Amino acid sequence: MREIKFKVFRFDPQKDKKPYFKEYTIPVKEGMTVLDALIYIKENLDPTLSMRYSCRMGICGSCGMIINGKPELACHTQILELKSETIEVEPTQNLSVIKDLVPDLRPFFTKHRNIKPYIIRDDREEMEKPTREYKQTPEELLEFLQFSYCIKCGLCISLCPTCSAYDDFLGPFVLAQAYRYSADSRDSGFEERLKAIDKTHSITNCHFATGCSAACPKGVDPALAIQFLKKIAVAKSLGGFKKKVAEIAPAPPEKGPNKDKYPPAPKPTV
Amino acid sequence: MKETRLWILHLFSGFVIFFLLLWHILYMHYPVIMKGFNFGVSFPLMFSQVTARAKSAGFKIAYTLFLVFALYHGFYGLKNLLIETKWGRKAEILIVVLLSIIAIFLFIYGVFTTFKIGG
Repeated sequence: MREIKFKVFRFDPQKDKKPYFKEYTIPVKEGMTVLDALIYIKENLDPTLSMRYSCRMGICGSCGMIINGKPELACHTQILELKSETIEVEPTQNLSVIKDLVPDLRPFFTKHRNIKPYIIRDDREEMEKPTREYKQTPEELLEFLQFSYCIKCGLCISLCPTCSAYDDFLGPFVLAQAYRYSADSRDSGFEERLKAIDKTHSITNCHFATGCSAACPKGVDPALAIQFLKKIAVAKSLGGFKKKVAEIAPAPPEKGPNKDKYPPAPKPTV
Repeated sequence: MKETRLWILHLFSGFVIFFLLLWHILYMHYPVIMKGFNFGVSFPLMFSQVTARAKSAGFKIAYTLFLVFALYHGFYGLKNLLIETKWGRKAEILIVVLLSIIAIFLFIYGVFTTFKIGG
């Protein structure tokens, strides 16, 4: 079993004056991820180490951190694939640190809430208490599908030069989600969303460095979403923005010649 | 649509000043080329030519437009660069106010000069 040295970022704002790196040497076997190593350190070497994790399978986005200088999900990064005898682990950049490897994502979650990341409909009653699903074609789904894979891990923020310049910038994943919902054919809330977007530190201040797209562990392209968002904001501003909002799907027939021909729904597997 | 409109104007002013600047450089500094197109004069920087040109309403309008678009494009870009700081909201407002005052002063000075030399 190989031994690998881990240099882990440590900082407790209540105790430490400045951050430092602490070294741990741990046994590593094939299949072990950086998150496994951090859990090993916490369970066997240093219980004071803090990190954030949940699903351990690249879905929740909690364990986003900088591993050997690159933004990665710790649960998704195989130690042996890094091909390095020393692995340096730091928290996500451009965010303040709560403790050790735990960044403070609250400012971005507040911004995320402000852009109203949900389907907004003109028919509020149907929106609050939906009776049926809305009609959407596969082509309409493709307009926003890749942006819906965002897991809000915050890794895009760490490579964004505009986020490093000032705190007010809405940020890549927030703007990508603004586009995701604005491009959804079931949504008619772009004007409401625009109140949060059409500000100084927003789409027009994106430098298009595309670091966010390079950093995303789920293959989402937030830089592209921001360009699309600029396009529809400009179209809206010039009065050329028209969107056909999806209608509610018709009710299924209660009686009819073909009704009995439909096979019964399969039984739930869980 | 406040910021988006300002940004569209920034793009539009950049597009306009590209042509106005091209025309200015060709007319003032490449008279041989312009004469080739049967346009312009042989010695555009001669005193008599400058004063004669300054009396033309077309030149006054063209240079005033050039001044407006160039000032807007430059100062909007400068504002965007300067507010990329962590100085806070008050500093941002101060930067916008100061740049606006400088731009307005330069506009008045430029218009005054354009119209004054023509008499």
